[in-house]
Amino acid sequence: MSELVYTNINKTFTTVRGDTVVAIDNINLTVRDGSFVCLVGKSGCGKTTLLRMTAGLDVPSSGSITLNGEPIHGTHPKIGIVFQEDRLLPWRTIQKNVEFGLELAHVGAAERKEKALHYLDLVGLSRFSEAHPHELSGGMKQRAAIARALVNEPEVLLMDEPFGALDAQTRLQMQEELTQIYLRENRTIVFVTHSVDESVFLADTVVVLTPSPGKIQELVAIDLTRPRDRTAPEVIRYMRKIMAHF
Amino acid sequence: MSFLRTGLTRTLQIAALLALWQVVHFFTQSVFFTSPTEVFKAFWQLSTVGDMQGITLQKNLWTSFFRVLHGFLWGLATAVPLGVLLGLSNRAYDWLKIVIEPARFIPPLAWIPLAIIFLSGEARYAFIIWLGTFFPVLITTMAGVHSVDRSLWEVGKTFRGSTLQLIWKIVLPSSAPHIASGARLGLGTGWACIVAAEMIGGESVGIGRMIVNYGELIRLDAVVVGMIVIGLLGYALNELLLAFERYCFPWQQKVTL
Repeated sequence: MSELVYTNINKTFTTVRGDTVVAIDNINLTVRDGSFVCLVGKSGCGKTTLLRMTAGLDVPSSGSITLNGEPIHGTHPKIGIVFQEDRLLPWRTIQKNVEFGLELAHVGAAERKEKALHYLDLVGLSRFSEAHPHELSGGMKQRAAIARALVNEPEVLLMDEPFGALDAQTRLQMQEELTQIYLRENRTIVFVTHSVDESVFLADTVVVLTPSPGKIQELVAIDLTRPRDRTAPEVIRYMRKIMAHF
Repeated sequence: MSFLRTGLTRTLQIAALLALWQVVHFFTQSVFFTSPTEVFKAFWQLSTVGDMQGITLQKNLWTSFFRVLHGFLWGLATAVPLGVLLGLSNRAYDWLKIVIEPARFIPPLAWIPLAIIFLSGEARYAFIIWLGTFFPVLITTMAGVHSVDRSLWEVGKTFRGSTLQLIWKIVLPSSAPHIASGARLGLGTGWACIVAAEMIGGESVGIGRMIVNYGELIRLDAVVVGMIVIGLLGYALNELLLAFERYCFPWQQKVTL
């Protein structure tokens, strides 16, 4: 069971000139256990800030975020994150990168290796466990980053435009693979993207945010089975519906 | 093939340089302006018979090498931890800035009178070479720590690593290439201080001592042998450390300097 609840979240920044900017304005949202939620919006709508606050890397100016009723203070062991950049440690092999979180949690070497290899297999990187990040393509590095987040077995997986830096084809492939991982692992996923088609392809619920200040415009439930057909009329219909806010 | 070609080019370069030197020597007609042949003779004598005290060139060089190593290792042992601390903590740097920043502009030579009065024996050599090593290593270590990618630090934080863990597993490996380059530069500056250190060391053995002794006798052939040997050994060490860096940090872009 994992329920992520945002209550009255506000975030304001002070600029260098001393002006106050409202980045997020009173967001209320419940992410149910095992659901796949996409936060969609133009840049400046606060979607990344919202995700970073969930990961404990930023603090809301007011309001609370709770996981299973417990408020989140700082980073949380049950919450994992994948960033837009792979952020792999360049001096470590792929396997050692995946083991990183377990290592920090003082998990023994044998167990680390077993888990790392399991998740590398899940993302299709078994053959590259001994390679260094610079030897891998962008898509492979991002898969390794996903394995690294999954290996700590988080209840909630946060993804901040993880495929944003990839080329179009790799991006489609990664979306399909992520769908498979989601179906198999059944973890709660909160996924930030500015791509409407990506959100319709992936999510159960698309949260449409509007910028300055960041607000929830609409929640769109995507009532389609997976894997989805990108060109199906229903998919296009959902896309139109969301696109109307842009 | 390219290896052979480089070797051939280098040999030709050296031959041309020696020839030029010999020609200039011929036209200057000065007893002070030594020639390659005289230098080679001196080299032969110094390495087989030894210097005026019967100490061979190898013995002199070896002794100096260990002195440099001694001061250099002290330099590393002090400059790396301090560099990491000052790189991580702006407050610590602010506190020590007023001492460290002026101190690094004081040349090791200027410390000699103090070294003579307060230190003796091996410590004198080590201190002067430590001075030469300390600041390059300190500055590059700090720069290395500053260059650590904040986003990698965040990754460590999301995995709830302690500050000590993050320093050990992210900051140090990430700045290791900088520290290694700094160590290489520091070894160079340490070598450059050997003559100064041995001028005041009091012992009669050492390559710097040998240069000073022959300098007083205006035996420039022997002086030049000492200079060339220091230069070549420094060059060899630098290449060795460069190879070590490339081996240890294949994920880093190529280092050449």
